[in-house]
Amino acid sequence: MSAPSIQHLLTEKRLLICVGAGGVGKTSMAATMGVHAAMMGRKVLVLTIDPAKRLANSLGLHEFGNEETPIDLSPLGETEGELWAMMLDGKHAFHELIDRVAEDDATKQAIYENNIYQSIADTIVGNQEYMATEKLYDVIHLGGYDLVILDTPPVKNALDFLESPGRMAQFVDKRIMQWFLADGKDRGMLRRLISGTSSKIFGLLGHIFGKDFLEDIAVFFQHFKELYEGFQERHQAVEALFRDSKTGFLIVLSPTEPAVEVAKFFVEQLKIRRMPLLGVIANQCHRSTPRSEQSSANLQQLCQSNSADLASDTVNRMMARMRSAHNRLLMLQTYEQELVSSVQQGLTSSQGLHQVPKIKGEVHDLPALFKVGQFLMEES
Amino acid sequence: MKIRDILHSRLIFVSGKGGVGKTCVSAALGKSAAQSGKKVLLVEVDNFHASFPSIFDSPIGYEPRELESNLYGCNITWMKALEDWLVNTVRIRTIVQLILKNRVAMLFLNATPGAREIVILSKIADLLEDYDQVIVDLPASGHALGILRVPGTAMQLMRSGPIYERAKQILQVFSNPRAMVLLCALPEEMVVNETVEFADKIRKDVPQFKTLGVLLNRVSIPSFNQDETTLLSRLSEATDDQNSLDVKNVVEAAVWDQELEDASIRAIERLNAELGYDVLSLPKLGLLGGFGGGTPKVVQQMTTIFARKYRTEKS
Repeated sequence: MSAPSIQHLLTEKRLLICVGAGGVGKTSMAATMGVHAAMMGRKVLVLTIDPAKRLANSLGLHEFGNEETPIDLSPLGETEGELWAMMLDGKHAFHELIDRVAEDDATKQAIYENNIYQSIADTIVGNQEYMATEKLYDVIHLGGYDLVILDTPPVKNALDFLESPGRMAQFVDKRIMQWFLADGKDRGMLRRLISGTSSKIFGLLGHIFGKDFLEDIAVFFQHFKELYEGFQERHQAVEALFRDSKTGFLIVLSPTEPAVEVAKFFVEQLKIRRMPLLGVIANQCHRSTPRSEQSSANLQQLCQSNSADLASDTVNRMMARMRSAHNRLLMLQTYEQELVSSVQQGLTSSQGLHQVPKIKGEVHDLPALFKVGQFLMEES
Repeated sequence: MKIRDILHSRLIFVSGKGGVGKTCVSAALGKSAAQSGKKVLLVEVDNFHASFPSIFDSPIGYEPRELESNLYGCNITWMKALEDWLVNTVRIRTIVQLILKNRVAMLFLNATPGAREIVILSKIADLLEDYDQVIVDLPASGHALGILRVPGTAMQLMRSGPIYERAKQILQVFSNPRAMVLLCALPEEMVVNETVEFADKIRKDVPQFKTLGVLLNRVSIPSFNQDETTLLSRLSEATDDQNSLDVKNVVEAAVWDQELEDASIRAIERLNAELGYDVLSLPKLGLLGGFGGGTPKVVQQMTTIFARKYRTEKS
């Protein structure tokens, strides 16, 4: 079986997840694939956590937020498809979740004012990832999209994302909840627990965390108990989604040693977790072609005819400079190709290795973004 | 900012946008300080896939291990740090084992917001006592901010108890004049924007830090004279619609170099203006500023540059 093309993946899949080291262009790749899938007629959502304003700008927006925002594709021509973009804001999404699930305004208010809730919403590392999976559940089940492309957060421990649904779900784990809630009465749970079976350990935790904190947690759990079923259900649904046949992972890398190392690590980890890796995108690869003697002569001539008004050594200096710059570029290309092909060895024949050349300057508008994606669409 | 300010720090938290060279810079700073006779510890934070081993060709674990003369490295993993922390707090090993073996207690500790970060920062504060300098290679911007904000939040949250006290001590460590946050950046517009935003957030959310440095990595030093610039732009225009692709390629290679120089000038000007002091910079190393030549070699080159800058400052 030969590896499916990116074009094929954009047609067939419902969820594509881009992963990789920071700074390799995951967000741009997610966006450009979204643009192409929409131009192919699909209804697409690009979900990003990276608050890069440039991406919004390149999609023709000033910025986009926690709402699904339509992107005007008219600069690229006619299409029946649609492109939507959304940036995840963990705190905002968490508020939304509470609003949706809380029984009444008083409960809502009590949750908002709870210390624990505030710390989860404001500070807690991993909340972004958790909310990403929450939102993922929403858009997949309710959004009516043909395809969702998820740009994962730039984490050093790149697996945080895959593990984060579990981390939050653990916090609202039934056993912990029961610990705090006992038989559901609202008051005196601490006293009751301290005389209960887990009393020793609970007492110790009180010692470690402070009794006030445990009280806060108990109150938090009371308000959260109706959310509990929902959390578990969604957590399981998202986990199942990660392994669905219409879902797949794409590893994005740039041809540098650290990014390639992270990519290889991901290949391995996805295999261990039985999560479907569809391919690797090597982004920002330098590309050039060797120069012939004839072209050097042509260039020399071109320099001379353009430098009548310039200092006499300019032509020689420029020729030397260009030769050296071009030689370095060719060396870099060879080096990068070696690095990139070292990733190939870990892939099966059904996992493609796709290359996107580095383009000059930064991507400023929709046509430029589209152009970057064309390299992905061309099958070599 | 001077390299001296960094090399003389007791505690350095290194962060920045993904892919800017945080780990290489951390390693090179550590080597420089170690070579000047300091006992230095390089710390990775709960990294499932540690990066220092590929630079020093040596595995690292929870317990610090000597990587080079005077230079040590460790990866502070959550579970081990938690055990240490519990032993220090509860003091009785059998009780600690009781907690560590209790599934519900572990679920609780694993999931309690901020516990991971406090325990790890607490371990870093402890390690500070055994070394002249500790360099922490934090994750990328957003996550690094999350970690550094936790002690402040924990103090609000706990109001009393051992975690409260510990968080207070950690904030005291942060506010030591010789503790600093060092942000790495690249001369690219998007990276510079993110660095400026991140610096603002640190100043606002973790005001304890008295020193915040920025190190601009992979800087191209201006080398084109006026006539060369003029000629290059003419060549670029002349080859724009040229059929001969290889002539165009050669011109483009030089244009590329020049654009990197321009971007470097812009980045330095912007950062100097935003920070109110001269930003430190490192030249691009390896092939065209890529990593060509191997990461350990790049780290070695950076170390040499730091040493040279330091000598220049002294004289």
